[in-house]
Amino acid sequence: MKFNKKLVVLAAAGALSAATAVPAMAFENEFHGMYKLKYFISNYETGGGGPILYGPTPGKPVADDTTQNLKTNNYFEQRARLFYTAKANDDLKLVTGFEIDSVWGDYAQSGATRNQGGALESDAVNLETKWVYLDFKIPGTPTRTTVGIQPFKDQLKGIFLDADVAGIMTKTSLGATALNVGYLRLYDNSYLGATGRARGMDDLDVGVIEAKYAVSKDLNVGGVYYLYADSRRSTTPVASAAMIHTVGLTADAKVGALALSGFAAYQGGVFKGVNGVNDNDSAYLNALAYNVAAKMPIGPGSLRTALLFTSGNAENTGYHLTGWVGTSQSKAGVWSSTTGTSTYNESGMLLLNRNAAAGAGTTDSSIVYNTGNGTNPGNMQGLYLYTLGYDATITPKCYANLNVGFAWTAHNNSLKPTDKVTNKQNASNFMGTEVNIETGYKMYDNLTAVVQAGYVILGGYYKNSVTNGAGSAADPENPYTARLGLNYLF
Amino acid sequence: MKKVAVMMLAAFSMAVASPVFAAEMTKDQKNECLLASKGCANEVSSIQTKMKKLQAEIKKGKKVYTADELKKLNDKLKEAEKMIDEMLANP
Repeated sequence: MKFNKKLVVLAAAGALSAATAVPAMAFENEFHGMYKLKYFISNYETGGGGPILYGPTPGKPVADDTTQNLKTNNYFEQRARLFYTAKANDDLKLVTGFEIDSVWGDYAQSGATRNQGGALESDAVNLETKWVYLDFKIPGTPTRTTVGIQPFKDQLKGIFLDADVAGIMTKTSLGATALNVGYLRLYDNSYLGATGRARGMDDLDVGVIEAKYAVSKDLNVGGVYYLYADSRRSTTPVASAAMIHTVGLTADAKVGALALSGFAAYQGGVFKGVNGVNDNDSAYLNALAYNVAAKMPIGPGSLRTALLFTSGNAENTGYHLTGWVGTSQSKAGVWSSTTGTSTYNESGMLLLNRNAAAGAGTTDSSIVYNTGNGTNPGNMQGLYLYTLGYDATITPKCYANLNVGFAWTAHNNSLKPTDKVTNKQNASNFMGTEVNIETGYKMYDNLTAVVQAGYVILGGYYKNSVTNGAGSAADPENPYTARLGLNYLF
Repeated sequence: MKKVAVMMLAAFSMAVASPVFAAEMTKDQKNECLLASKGCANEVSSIQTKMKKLQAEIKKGKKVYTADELKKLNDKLKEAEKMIDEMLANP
């Protein structure tokens, strides 16, 4: 019996130690994601993406729309994002992100591709891979590395590049200094068979150096450098290659309750062979951008204000370009007005500029779609965008944001609308005023019902620039949008 | 025999007791799951719950955590905030 008792105690001790032993480092599987559904009522938004109301004769959103006033579009758009992170430990993880977008009733089954699959019987092959990257700390160093297809947003608030890209980024913290250095490969044109040359010779590459120094708890200053090196045999307006250097100074500070932030940036570079004659037929770029923003808690919320400036090109630029250049490029090397790879979310606008935070996702449309406010480096008009907003927390479950914004082009060129009465370009640079409101109610911790509504009063820039249903010159109809939505986040 | 049965029962109940979840942490205990991915068992948190837990742990301050550990928790909170921003605002 004595022996048995000992055995029991030993067994109990063994079981206890097994119960309390914690694995040295458990492998962690993290799942997160979101679902966003929006119902749209709008005269210009059609479930597509890209700029609206641009060019000498701003086009109508629907081709067969010949009425005096535009017809109203109504559609549902949904977007789901699923993220899985395989975390070996705090210093090593694989991050993956997937996306499924659809507009209800669009296409289904074999006729559907990405961003579709909302029609009868669904069953579309429409799962997009958004991110796949390894995130690890280099042992014995203060450097973290992310390698793979990953999100990248520049420290100029996204006005140069804000997109998912393949590359290598390193982040190093040295005391009060944070340093990011990276290489991103945006395109390799040898995959298109256009060049017939070896892999890696005809690329669009971006190099990144970002430094931030914390002067004090309330003041950060920084410097950025982005290299945009396009070695592809591109078409309009670049015939052979482009090299753009973007340098900027950034700062953010807290003065009591007031939060300030801003940047000033310069772009300098060369576009070779602009007229397709030969590589020596080059145009040179000198462009500027700056931003100042302030935010302060007042009453039950915060008051925000911001100004963004990007420089523009004149009518006949010759070989001296002065328009701010984002990174809106298609895979064929053509500068694309519909490829959105730069953003400015601070504005709080719904229609005036591309604000990815308030937008619906794939189908976002706006008047100033890329931050240079043009369709290619030769016709960037530049922008002055002043915005004022108030974010109110009405109850812990209910919020409301009110925004107003004013946009002007910085320069006149061929994109400016013509008055169909005088047949001359309008004198005014004023594009319009947007007023919008967003309210949300938290149905659960993870689910918010949202209402957004925005209206743009177009400025003199658009005067008499379209022909109405009766065949006479008219102002384009003022854009409006109303959206009812559900946001689930987990 | 009764004694043996009680001891076995006690040992068994301890063996199957699941690791303490973050919500059950006392004010003076460290949350090893949040801090070092230890003892997370089958815990699955939404991003909002994870942030709330991190905020609660950060509030415990230097009484419970070292300066390095607090920095780690703050970094994780920033990482979660960035994740939300990227989920909603990434184009």
